[in-house]
Amino acid sequence: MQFAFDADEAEIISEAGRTLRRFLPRERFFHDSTVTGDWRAIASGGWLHASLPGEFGGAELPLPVIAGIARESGACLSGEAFVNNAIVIPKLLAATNEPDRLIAEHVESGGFLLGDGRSDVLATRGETSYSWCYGVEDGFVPFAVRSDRLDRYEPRSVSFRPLAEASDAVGDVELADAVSESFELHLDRAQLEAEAAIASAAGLVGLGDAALADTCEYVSARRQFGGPIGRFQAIKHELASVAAELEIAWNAVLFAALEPHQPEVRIARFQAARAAQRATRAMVQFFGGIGVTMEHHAHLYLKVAATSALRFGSPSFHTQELGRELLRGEAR
Amino acid sequence: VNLDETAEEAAFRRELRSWIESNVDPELRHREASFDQRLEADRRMAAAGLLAVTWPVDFGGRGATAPIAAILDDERARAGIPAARSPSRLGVHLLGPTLMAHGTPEQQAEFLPPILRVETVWCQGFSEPEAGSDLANAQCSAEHRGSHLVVRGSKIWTTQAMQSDWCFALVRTDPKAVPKHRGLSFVLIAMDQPGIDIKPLVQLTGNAEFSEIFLDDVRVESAHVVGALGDGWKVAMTTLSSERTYAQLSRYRLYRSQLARIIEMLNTSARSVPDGWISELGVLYADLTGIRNLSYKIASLGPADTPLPGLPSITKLWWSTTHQRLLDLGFRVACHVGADEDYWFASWLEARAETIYAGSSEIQRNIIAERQLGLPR
Repeated sequence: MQFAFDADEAEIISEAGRTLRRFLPRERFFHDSTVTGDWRAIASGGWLHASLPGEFGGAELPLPVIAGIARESGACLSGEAFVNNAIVIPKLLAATNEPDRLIAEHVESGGFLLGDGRSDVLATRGETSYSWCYGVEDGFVPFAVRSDRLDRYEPRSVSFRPLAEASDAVGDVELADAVSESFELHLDRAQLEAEAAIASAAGLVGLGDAALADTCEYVSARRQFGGPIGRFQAIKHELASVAAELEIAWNAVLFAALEPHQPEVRIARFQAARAAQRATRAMVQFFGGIGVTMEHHAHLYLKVAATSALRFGSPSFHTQELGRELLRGEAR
Repeated sequence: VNLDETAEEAAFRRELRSWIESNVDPELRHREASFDQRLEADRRMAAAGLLAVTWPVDFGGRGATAPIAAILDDERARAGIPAARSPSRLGVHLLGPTLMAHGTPEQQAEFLPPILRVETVWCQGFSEPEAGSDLANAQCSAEHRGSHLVVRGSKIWTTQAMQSDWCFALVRTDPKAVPKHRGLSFVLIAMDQPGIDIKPLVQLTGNAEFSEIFLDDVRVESAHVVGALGDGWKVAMTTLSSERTYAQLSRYRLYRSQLARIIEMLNTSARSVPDGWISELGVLYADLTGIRNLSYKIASLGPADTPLPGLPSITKLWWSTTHQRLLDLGFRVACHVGADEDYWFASWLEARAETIYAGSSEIQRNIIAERQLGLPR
């Protein structure tokens, strides 16, 4: 048993992390930012193929390593877009009749899934209006998973309204055009859903990591009452608890990535969501007044933690299900 | 990264399970086993070389890997003889590694073999009435008189003091040292001598698991100081870091069996389960797996790896707070269904101490914040 990455795996993840931070800087979501993301650069590094088998040009990285990379994407506020573009969409395209063409087109543009990510998971029945689409960015191609096929739409037909006009990559989508192309699908959806849910949980842990790191830096520098505020136990003890929850959550994600089925997926999602929400609440709280303004990025972390926690079923849904499964004698 | 047992690990688990089955009688391994019964179980494990498997071969162990140790811990818990209740645990898991790291060859030769053979029972003399969480403030004094030291003071919350032959303790050999942890020394005290008075501490539960030890001009040979005089803090840190990481899988098994009892109470009762409790069960189930995962992580860190500096503290914080929440629900469920209240109430009371012992929650959070997150002191 080796419940930790070996040196090669760790190197792949840290190289992916460097690439993600360089080409998908989190600053692109910041207030009045002029910075943009470059998904093509991520694609040409091979990171959007990374989970695919060699026949489709992928490196077929195992799920735990993909989760390690997804954790890095969460720190860039791009966790859900990474889940879509590096896992769900490539694997859907690989399960069609024209995988090579579609995958080649996908890495040129990026995409997102139509449908309510909280409950639809992969398949949707929507037609022109969709709420709670995750990881929507400019120019991304909309995909809709139907019962037996995959529909692709033109990106120019998308009208996107962010949730509450605030959270940048999650929100409602209206489509002006009809479906552009449609493909038959042959795949194990449950397996893909589990992988996507685990990678999304990894992104939540990464989001929490970044929130914690920023907060630690700030409370070590911000001085009040004759010294840095980080020396007060009211602050340091809460941040220690955040660090503990993130450690627990990451271990649960890693375990689920090694055993990608229930109850492990529920456990990982619940713990990752809880840790990310606690980390980002602490961030807003300890940054004080500036933490609740639009100029500062703390609010983005809080919102992404809140919305991302709801994708693939809310934390309370998962804990209710775990409890019911225990009472029915189903959980191991 | 993988969760598979190697062929060697799987074989060890198989052989160990059948060995315990045929060599440790069921009467020695149940929840209410007496101290003597638990000691006898330790002796049988020791005779087969199964007590201190991680000790290096040179010291009489097997030099086993951390995954093998985790399997041993797991199987012991499964068989009803968890390491956490083993009378030998203080010698095997705490003093043993400390003497190997800091003891002289003479000390190692004198003390390690009897620990391996379960001939000596050890207790730990760290906490004092005015110095528990603030261990560096220990006041129990030891005056150096050439061939020996004379110890005066008291120690408190000492587990199995009444049954112990020896006590490893932190004492103050330099009252003027600044900072104060520089004035401490780590000594080995023989318990069968005049001047030692042991007073059991009866707890809320009615049990007396801990004692207070009064030391009045007690003699410690100079040869029984571990490390140099004044180096006690450094030596004790080795002991404490051992304490905070071993035997997590057996904890996981024990707590999971308590969760199973809660489920059983709810399922056998005619009363319906309140919705809030269903979610609480789910949360606890998830959080208990966190203990298992930490154990896997600790077992996967090779000797060359530098673990997160906060990992032992996160581990202590996690199992203690999760277990307290588990017992809290257990007690409420027992009252709700009207069964087994005594067990749950006693367990609930007992678990209050988990906030304090093995390093209090506040101290653990300080350690995580300062050593792992780099926050200012």
